[in-house]
Amino acid sequence: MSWATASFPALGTSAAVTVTDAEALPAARVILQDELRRIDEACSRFRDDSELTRLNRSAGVQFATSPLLLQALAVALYAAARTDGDVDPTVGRSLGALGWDSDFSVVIARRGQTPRMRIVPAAGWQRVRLDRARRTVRIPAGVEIDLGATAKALAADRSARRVHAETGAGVLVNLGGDIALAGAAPEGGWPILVTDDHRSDIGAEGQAIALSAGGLATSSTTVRRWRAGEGDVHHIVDPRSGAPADEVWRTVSVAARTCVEANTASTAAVVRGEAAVAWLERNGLPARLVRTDATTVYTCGWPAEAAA
Amino acid sequence: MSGMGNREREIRERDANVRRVSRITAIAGALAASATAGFGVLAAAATGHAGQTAATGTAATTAVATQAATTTGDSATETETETTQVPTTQATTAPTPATQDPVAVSGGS
Repeated sequence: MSWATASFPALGTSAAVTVTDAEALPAARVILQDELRRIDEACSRFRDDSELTRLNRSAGVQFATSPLLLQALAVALYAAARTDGDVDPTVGRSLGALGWDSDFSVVIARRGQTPRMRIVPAAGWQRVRLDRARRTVRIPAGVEIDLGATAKALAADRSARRVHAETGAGVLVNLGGDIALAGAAPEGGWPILVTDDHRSDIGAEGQAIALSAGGLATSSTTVRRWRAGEGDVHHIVDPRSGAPADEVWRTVSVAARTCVEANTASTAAVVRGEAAVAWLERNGLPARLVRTDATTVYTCGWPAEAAA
Repeated sequence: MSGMGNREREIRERDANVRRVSRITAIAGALAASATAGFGVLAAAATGHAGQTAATGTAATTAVATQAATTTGDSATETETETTQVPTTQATTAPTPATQDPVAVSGGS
């Protein structure tokens, strides 16, 4: 089966939509752009005019949300609940204190010339008060929400489902390595390279797998790093300490029923360290975990790589 | 008469044992299901399957709702509403080795 792809930069990363029917590609591209615009307007921590920025400045006052921000917050809180707080949307101040307080291109451009790095634990997701009936949310003054761990994956899921619903084509949406599938996959599944960095070309070192449904996400401590004070830090924060998670795993990839689910699990696995293997097994999630020494662990039917 | 009484007592005890085993099996099944239900809940929340009703897995969703209700404060209202509408028995599809050149790359970003 053939397929057609459109790609463009978005959300500070790359966005691509691939469909099994080339005639559906123009519509698929328009849908993806629309979904990304909406998610950015609702959930960006760095846009001054985003709904999330207004929420973060609401200082303990009841805040009326759009349906999309409400959904994104609900998903983030579920992710926190299901991971016992490993993936916590109240890490906004933690990330800012580590130096990620602007669009990532700005952070990188500073080349370490940042104010002194501080370690600030997350405020705690239980302090977020979400009222679905009234479509309101309240966060205590000083708490800053960051939806980076789940909003991009949510956008991938929403886009894939909408492209399939409106075009009937099989679809793969890839937002910076967060992949969501919808509709009928090509025979043998969608072939996907799993590797450290989503910017790699398809010939890069990694594992080529095929996936027919659901979502796939990879979290890595090797990309999205920046200089902070004397050292290097990466972006996956342990909410309990506020520090970057210990680098037990270089890269964790998880396949799941949705991209949000996959991304939540891959992020939580990095935070959990060695304990992630048993946790993924308990949750029935196929995963590939690569240690910093390049040894690899697989869970729940993820195929082992053929020896080189 | 006493033989008949003994037999009735045996039958009653046997029935009671069957009921006890059935109950234990049901509880064990619900617990096993609830162990994997969490990510089903998350999956549905992410994609907005709000209209779907679980044909199976009711015990599992109830267990998750109860657990969330004790840990999430006001957010529990949300959780309970959503979990009553979510199928939890759908299995995650595991990847297979690819037989064609990759069309996409999944990596850290």
